[in-house]
Amino acid sequence: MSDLFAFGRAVDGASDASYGLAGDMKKTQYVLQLLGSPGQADTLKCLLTAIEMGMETDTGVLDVQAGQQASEDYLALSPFGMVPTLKEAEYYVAGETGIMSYIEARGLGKRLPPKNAALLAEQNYWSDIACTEVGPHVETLVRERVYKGMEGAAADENAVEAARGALVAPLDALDAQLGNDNTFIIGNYSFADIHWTAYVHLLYETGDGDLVDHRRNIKAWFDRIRTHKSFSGQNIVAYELLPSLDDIRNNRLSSVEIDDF
Amino acid sequence: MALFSRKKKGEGSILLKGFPGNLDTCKCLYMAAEKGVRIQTDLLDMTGHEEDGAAFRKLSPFGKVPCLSEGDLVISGAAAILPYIDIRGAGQSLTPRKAARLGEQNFWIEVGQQRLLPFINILLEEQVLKSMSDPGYTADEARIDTAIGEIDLTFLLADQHLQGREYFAGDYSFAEIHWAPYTHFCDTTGHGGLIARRPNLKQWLDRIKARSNGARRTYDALPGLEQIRGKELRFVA
Repeated sequence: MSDLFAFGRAVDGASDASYGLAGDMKKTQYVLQLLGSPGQADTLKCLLTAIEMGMETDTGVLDVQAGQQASEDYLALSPFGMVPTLKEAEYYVAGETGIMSYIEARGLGKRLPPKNAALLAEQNYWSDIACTEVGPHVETLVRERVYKGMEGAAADENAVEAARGALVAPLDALDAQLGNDNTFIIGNYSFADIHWTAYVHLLYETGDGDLVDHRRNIKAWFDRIRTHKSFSGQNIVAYELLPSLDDIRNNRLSSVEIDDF
Repeated sequence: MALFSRKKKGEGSILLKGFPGNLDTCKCLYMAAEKGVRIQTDLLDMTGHEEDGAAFRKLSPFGKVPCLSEGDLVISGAAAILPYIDIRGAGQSLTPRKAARLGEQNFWIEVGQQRLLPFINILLEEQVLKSMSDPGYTADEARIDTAIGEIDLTFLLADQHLQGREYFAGDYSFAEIHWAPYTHFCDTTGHGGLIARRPNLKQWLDRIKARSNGARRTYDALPGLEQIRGKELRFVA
């Protein structure tokens, strides 16, 4: 196993298997390859980071429902089975934390993390709240409302209600934070917005957008996110490349192509 | 208090509210020692579940431990506190500048959080913490054995990665700040053999233990079991 694209699109014949595989250079970068799952928030965060930082990225789909993340081939790429995995030329890194920071550092234009210590702490605090207080419950909703349906099974309504209930406190906290005249979560666009965008997007796709709609500040923030152009200045809106419910059900993940360097 | 108000370097004294048997508290103490940041400490008795109390929840609404305050600034959770101390401290940031090294650092941090932290916590709970609130408690050996198996597997892969490397991401980085407490508590709870059988990890830990900031070994900022049992959270200078 030497290339990510032995999984996903390359093997279904629908993709241009040569694109990026030989480390095709555009400007000063190789084309990144991201192997992930459209229903997984961590994959969406990495995709968002690539778009925001103007990094061309070809994507492949890992079939997590079929347990492909536990296959010998995948574990050769990601020894701990962490999803997604990123490749650039001969460099591999797995997991959202490593991938997002790698893409950001390789990206175009100004840096995403704030330089001010208090702002950096604030970014990481809201990212941490998203990952620990929101992520597990969104994962439950995706599993119960989307994946189970794909398998012909019924959602566990108790699990759904428990997840929705657990989301009240963190969503209320974010709504209050965004009420401080903040355009984005800590003022300027940051990693915190990327983390929350992935989760809020999945809430809409699972049919739980009502949790967002009646929180005025989050709703207004998300409306801004939906039209927010690339942080690095490219004429591309990251939100438009996020997978729809139909994409999730059909295991489709958009690639990132940048035309205006 | 206002959350996340802006501060200038050198302002105020830093107070860390945490618990010596809490891994994230230990990461922050260790970071402070590495970066030469003076920190005063305030015990949060997690054996008495003070982290769930109303007073602490006013500071840390989601109960994240530890909690740091400096003047009007209040931050909770290691994810936020560690980079704050890093920037407030002396010398260059521990964050690698090269993208590949940054990715490597954060990969190993995530591995530690997912594959070590829960299992080191089991060792601490079963062998130290539960008997502090219930003197008659008998450790669940099956739970300990499961944790040891998971830790051993992660150490095996870390050992392979550390072959030919001094530190996880080449140079000393945040990855060491996270991993030093994991290996420390694995050792102090009597499972040092898991490290000793992995030569590269053992050499890495020896390098960590030899590090100093001024006259003090930075590793000494990590509390021993007697400090945990005595609920002693030490001031770091």
